[in-house]
Amino acid sequence: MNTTTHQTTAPAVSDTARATAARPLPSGSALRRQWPELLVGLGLLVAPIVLPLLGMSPDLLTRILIWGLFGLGFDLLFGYTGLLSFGQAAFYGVGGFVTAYLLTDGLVSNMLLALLIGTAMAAMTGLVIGYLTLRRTGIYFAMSTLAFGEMFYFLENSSFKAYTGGENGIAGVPSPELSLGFIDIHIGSGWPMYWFVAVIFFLGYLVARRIVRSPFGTVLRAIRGNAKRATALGHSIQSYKLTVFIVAAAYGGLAGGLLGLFQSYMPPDAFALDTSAQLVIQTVMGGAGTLLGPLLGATIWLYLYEGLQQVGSLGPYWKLILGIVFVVLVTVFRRGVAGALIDFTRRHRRLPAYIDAGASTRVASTLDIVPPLASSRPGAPVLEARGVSKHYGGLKANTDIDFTLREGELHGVIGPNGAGKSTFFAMLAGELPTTTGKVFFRGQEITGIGVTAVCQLGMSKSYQINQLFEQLTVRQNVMIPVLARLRGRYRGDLLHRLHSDKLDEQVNAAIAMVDLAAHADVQVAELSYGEKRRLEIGLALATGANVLLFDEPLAGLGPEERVLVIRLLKSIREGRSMVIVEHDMDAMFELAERITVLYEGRKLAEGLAEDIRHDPDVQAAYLGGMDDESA
Amino acid sequence: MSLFFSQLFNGLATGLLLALISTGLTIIYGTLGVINFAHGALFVVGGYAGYTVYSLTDSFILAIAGGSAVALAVGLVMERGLMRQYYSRPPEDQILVTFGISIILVEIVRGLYGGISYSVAPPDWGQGIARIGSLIYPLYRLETLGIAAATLLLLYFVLYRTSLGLIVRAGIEDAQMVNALGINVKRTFLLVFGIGAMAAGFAGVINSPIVALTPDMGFRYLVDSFVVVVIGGVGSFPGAIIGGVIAGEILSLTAMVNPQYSEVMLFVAMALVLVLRPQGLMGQEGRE
Amino acid sequence: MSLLEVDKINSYYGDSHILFDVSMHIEEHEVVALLGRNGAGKSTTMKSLMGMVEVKSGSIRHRGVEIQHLPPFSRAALGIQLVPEERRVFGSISVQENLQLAAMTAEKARSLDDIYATFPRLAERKRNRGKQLSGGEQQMLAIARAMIRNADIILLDEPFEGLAPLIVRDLMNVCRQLADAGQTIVIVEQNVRAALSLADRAYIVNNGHVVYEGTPKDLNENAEVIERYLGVKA
Repeated sequence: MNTTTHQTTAPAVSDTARATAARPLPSGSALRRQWPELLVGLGLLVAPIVLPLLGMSPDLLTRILIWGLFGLGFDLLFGYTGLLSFGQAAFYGVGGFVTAYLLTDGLVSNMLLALLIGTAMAAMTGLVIGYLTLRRTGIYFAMSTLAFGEMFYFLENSSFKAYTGGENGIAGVPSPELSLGFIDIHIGSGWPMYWFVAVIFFLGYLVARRIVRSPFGTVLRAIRGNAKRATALGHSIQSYKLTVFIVAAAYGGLAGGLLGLFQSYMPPDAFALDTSAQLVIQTVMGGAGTLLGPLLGATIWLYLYEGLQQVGSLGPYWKLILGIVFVVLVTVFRRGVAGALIDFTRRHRRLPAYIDAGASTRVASTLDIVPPLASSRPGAPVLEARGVSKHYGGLKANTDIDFTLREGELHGVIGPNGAGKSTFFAMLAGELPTTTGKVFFRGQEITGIGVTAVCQLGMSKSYQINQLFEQLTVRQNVMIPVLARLRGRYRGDLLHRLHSDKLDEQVNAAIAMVDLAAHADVQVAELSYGEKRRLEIGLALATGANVLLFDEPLAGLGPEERVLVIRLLKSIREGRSMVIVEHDMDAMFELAERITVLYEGRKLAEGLAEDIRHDPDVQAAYLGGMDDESA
Repeated sequence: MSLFFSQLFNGLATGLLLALISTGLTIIYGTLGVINFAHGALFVVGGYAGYTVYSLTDSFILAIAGGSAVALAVGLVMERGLMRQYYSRPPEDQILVTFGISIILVEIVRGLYGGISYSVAPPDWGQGIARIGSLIYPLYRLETLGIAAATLLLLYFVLYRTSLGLIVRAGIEDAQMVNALGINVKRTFLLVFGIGAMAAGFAGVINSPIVALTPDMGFRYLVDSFVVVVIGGVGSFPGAIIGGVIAGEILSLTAMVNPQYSEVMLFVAMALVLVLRPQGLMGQEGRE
Repeated sequence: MSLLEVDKINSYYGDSHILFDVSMHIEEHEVVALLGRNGAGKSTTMKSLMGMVEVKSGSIRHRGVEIQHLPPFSRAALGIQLVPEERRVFGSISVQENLQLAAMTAEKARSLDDIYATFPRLAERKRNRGKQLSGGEQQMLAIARAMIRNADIILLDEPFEGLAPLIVRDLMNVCRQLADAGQTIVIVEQNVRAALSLADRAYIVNNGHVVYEGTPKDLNENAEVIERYLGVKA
């Protein structure tokens, strides 16, 4: 959903063009941004010269690269999105066997075409398995991916035996040939094979890097950090998860295809649990979330394996040693070897995330507000609850509540304990379906449509307990809701550039509104509680919402910080309507124009703040003993 | 027809064995919230330890005791030594470390015993065949069915009729409140982990005369017990039993039609459960 | 020496600072009320006493001995027992099992008969599982769990919330009986009148600070304090 800015003057054409076009890079920073790609490219070029001195053969290097390629996709899935899959071997096998079969059976003579088909088949398998397994998260997800991986292993050995050769695999895969029109390149074993695989790995790496630095990639990291909040900020996370699952499957399929070409043989254990496990272990050892972690892990694993074979007595124990190393790494270096190195350099050089360099120089404009769908006038109803009730079996949490928030109003909701405020608030936010009654947002029914839809319509909630993306910086946190507003609930923009004028301006505006500009590139985990609380409000603001719900915004704040946040809440009122639930009565009466009082699940009173203050029924409700029998 | 009944019986025997293994897994997850990827390795450790005791003493009973004891010891060391630090870490970390431990355990077994398979002869009281009506059935398989059933009954008794079981059942629901009522749940958890490990090791020993011991066999049973837990529902003892029997019967009955498909059918069943009733047959909603 | 001496504790949920230098004392055989609007920090105070919330600075002394570093089960062993706001009865086990669990580690546990005599309704429902009980019955069970342990101090967190007036009256009677028998009780209640009718002394908590200490008589004569911190300021 694209929004136009909430301005009174129409934007000039050149402004619009400038805003949506990719920003031209300041000179020199292009190279700086791409230094990992340069480094990897250089490394691939230099490896055949340096590494054989350490005893590494071209075959070993090729094998490492194939695992590295497999791991690029897996790292996107696990390192960046947080989805631990134990069944990636299924895609490795599908890609590998389809490619091998096509080439050996002569169905396809063009090697590149066979690889492409294999990769595509693996991606489709990813679609099916992803759809089934992503219905659950965490442990269930890991367990079911493991089971499906195993299922493919069994299928390979049974129903598809005719195609896969069962326990024998597919032998006689022809060595790769490239016909470039004027010359035919025959890729033999040894160094030519290394260069062939290295080129493909490099291309795969370039693509993975683009994905990581795209808007899509940023949302992936949000899912890993706090999936619930990412959803509430307007993203349809299931679609993102499925897409990255398919991408990981494609990488796996490509790697499998290369394996067959490399060995001239496609082994049945490509489908085995061992393969999935090896991938996981290599990624974790090397460092998840770095893209190069799997490559590093593969180097450790394969070099260790070959190295230990040389030492006669230790040979058979290489896996035991590997297991011990793995457990130690998981326990001590949570982010693997690469992660530990990165942490070390970061600590000693205080580098901001280079991807965001230059972002803070964008001039902050005012923060966009989603314009109302229909024209509205001050005082018109904006958020309405009509006869809303929530009953859980015999428990009546809310009964028959009518509520109206007017345009530009700051409306408070109070009530003693057990009044049903949280339940009511959740229904108002469209999170919770009602038992009876409906909720309307600017005339459109939103009863229980869910947080993502509500956010896209222009209403957002700020939480009582901070729901932030702790591992990301303040800037990156604020990007998440802005990305949802600029791109809608899902966009498959894996290869686009993240930063644009529009994005940066909006992000900076939101950061400035909550007075966190000085901490923009600081990791959230390092902020003080008061700063986190302001960011919590900032996230809701950055969605561009014109209706904001605040659940105890002052929770856990000391006296001085309360004053700051109250001031903040007053300062953001322009163009927005707000509902606040709070226990701090002083704050409530300072802020709210109108107040609704809930008591025992019903609306007890409603009116101007001053009137509520003097209402004897409200006083009695708070002091208890509304019923004479309890004294 | 008699093939059908003997397969049905087979399924029950396999199923109860799977139930036994899965009970340990599901109770550990229900109380501690830890999914133990080393569970299959404990099965293997128990089996091999039992084999050694058996070859030394010639008594299968002692072998069962020995195998279970070793598995118990390993479980306790695992919990005390490593798992403690992982309770507050995300579930992915727990999966990874238990997976790493399973590799270490399997490799130690491989180092001690080599990679070839060991067949274990059934004990004297298990040799021969039994006749049930017109069915001819290996006596030992019948006995494993009985042993597994008896053990599950014992576990049921412990869980539902003892103080320890009461603590575990309450702890599955609200460990912090159990703590507030004066019970050191951490110590209980150690015991629970140990019992879960012991159940796996026990199953490993009694299974050894039926399936030859190899160091890598554990993963097969781990995967199958995952399927059982998904079908039956996490944290549920009755779920593990029902799930186990269902899984055993699926494996057994589909083998009648086409042996190559039996494992696949098990995974299809799991897929169905994931789609239609994600929390499992007896699981509690939102147990993640 | 007070039974319980709380000296300038600062309690946190994660990095959210809830209690600011809270101090209070509880004497033996007293009934002390903790009053304040919801969100004020009353429950957090109770949970801090029980060890379920992190106290980062300050001290809590039980008969002179510091206990703020002890885990909940150790404090229960000392005779401190929390009846939590959400009741938290075990839904999957029976009433009888709930009570048996509670009595397990109590040094001088009361007998089941004793408890059933005080709560005949629980006797009727002894085989029912926790989740089958009504709100009032669950509250009875939660209090009974503390009683069966013969606790030194019972911390009652909002025991009357959400209950029908008749049940509240029954529970109030039980509390009065306990108090008359010498039981030390700390009670958090939003129902100010109910709390004050039971209490010997009261503290008022607001925004994580203790803002008032006095007897019910003092408080009843101080309408301004009541309105400011407990009601809606007029």
